[in-house]
Amino acid sequence: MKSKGWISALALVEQVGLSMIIPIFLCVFIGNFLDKVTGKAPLFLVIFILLGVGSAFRNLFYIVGKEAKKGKKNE
Amino acid sequence: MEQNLDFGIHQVVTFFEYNGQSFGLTTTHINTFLVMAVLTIFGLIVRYKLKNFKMIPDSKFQIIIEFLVDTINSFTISTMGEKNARFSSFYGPMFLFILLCNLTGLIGLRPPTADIATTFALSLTTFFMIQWYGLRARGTRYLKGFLEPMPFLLPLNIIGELANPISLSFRLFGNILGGTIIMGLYYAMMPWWAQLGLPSVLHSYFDVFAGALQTLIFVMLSMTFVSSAMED
Repeated sequence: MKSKGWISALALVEQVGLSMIIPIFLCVFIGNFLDKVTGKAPLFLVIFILLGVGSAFRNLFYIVGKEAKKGKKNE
Repeated sequence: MEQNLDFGIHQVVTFFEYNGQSFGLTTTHINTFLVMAVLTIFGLIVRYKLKNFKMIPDSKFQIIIEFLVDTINSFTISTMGEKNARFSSFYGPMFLFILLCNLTGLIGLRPPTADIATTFALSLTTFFMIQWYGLRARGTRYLKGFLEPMPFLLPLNIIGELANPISLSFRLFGNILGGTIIMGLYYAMMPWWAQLGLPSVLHSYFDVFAGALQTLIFVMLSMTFVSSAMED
């Protein structure tokens, strides 16, 4: 599997982008839904957006940390 | 020209209607069944020919099959490690299924992977595999991982974990749907002479290249997620 290098690099680039966007969108939907159910807009939307942004950063650190560990192993 | 513009999902057979919503078979179902039929027939042919296989291959068919199995095995081992080689029997068929689904655009069918239901079902399989094998391999230490590095980060870790299947499914779905829409627009808007020969270049990029690449990325990320859940 010689060609795996650039494919995994491409997958990593896509993964970094998507794993930052998706938690934010997911949390916006959950927050919006809870606001509609409870009628306390925009309380849950704000809470969940903050959670989504935090989770996006967590994903970024997790992915980059894993790759850095892999890079150290290969050195 | 607008009449030719067609890249949506259609309901082919309607079973029943409930609350204004009709239930039946869509083009996604039909095309998925077609892909499943092709793979099943291929599997049966291989099974039938297996008794004629020799230690040193003397037929092209055996060489092709051995090459296919060997490639899938070595890909699994290089991504998941030697101790997880058993997963090749799951990811091999998954790879072939997604690849064939992506390639159905070549024969004028709507790829089943251009439907979020198909890709989300595939990524949910991965999601449950991550949880199951993580729990089996590491026990309570896997659950404790959600409280790391600090316990108050638990909600962030849970949301991050839930984002995995969504990102996996949207990547494959978006890429294949993009190709399907562009090809649909091309066929609807171009004059007849531009539809001779030239679409083969577009098909070879959107269906063959992007299809194979996205299949590989989907399977590789699935393997990485499952194997990293099992690692300490």
